[in-house]
Amino acid sequence: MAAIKDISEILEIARIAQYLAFNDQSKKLFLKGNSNARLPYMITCERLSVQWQYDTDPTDSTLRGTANYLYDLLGIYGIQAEVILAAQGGVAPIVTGPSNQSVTLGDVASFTIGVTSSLSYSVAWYIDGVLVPGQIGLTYSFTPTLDQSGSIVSAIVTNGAGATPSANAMLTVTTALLGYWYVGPVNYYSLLNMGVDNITFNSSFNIVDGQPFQILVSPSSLGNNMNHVYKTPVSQGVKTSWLNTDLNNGNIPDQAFRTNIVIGSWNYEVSRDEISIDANINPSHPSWNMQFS
Amino acid sequence: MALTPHISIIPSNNPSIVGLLDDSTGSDVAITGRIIYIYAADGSLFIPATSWAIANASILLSILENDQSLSIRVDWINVSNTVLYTYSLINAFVKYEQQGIYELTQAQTANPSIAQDQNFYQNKLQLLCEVLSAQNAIDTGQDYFAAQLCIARGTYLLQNSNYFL
Repeated sequence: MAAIKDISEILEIARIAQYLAFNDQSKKLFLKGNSNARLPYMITCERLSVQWQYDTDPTDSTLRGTANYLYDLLGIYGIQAEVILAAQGGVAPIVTGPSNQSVTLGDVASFTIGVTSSLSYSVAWYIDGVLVPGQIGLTYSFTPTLDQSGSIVSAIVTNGAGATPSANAMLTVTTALLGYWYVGPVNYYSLLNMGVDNITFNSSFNIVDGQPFQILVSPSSLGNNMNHVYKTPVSQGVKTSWLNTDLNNGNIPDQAFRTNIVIGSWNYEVSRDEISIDANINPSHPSWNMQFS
Repeated sequence: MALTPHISIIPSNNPSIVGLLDDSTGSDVAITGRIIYIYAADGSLFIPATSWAIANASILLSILENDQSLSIRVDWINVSNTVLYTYSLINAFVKYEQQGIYELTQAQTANPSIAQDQNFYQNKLQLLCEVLSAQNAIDTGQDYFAAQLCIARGTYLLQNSNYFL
């Protein structure tokens, strides 16, 4: 049984098969086992009906069933027609995709197309109409820069019968949201309160927009009896509760963190004094994970 | 620069729609509006004369309850309702019958043996023939009266399901 064919391909095969069937009939030649005198008319009739519906709405869900019915009706004339089309170079490729892609800066963007072609084909990828050398597969993956956001990615698939452009897909690149964490002996509260941030932060952590974030202090002894500052974009709001099964749950306690400070587009939560993250509380936890929400 | 009037039929998925596109070239500042006249094959007005605002390049008229062969005339008028330009065309609107033929194909898909029924297939082929003949009468003969006769026969078949049972 033939692989699933695109509907437009079936219609093209039927168009050829129709003439083959009439030609046989005009010469009173009936291929063995196919002596139905009505067959050429049936092929014509069903081909036109499917073609009209395809022209009206190519996405009509009933077209797959009726096109398959048409294809089965063609019988040996359909096989002959496919041979003729193949000899003529067949039909141009059918291309689906790619879809728009949105990635965070630093991540890989992948664009994929689907190709239906009875002939061998080649693929070329383009960004904003400019050929990307060496990209010849069905998937084009790359790590975009921020200034590539808004670019249009597309492909052209070519076989012996012609070239078919893909849909245009838009690339969107967003910057990652990061927060920063300081743990150390210096109490930065006074400086931050004066609008000064000269902190050398220990590390950064990823933030999923609008979601609670977690800060891993490892080993927990690093954070023991130290001052803490965490710095996050104001877009993430002020976190009011934290979770740490070893230390405390619920609202951020006054004795742990002061009222937040805003400097520019950043929120700062500053520990009132040194926080005692005592590994002895639970020696089985070598790291200390805090979740702020 | 004078207007070179031209009107095209807009293909529609909806069989009740007569869609017109004003794809004239040139311009004439004296034009203030358009009037559409649609005639049935017997020469009578199919619908009352209809205004078509000059600001709209296209117009969709939901006026067909059955397939029809129609003669369409569009007049471009000035502020005094004087006709400055006119364009006429004829068209066989056969979407109902085309959809009917497709529905018969769907029935065959569900029950292939039905196509072996002499009654069924002979009448389906006749319906197809009427649709193709109507289009041919327009395209080749510019004869919208002959086209309407074909459409009427096809519509009769379509509206009497016993022909396909």
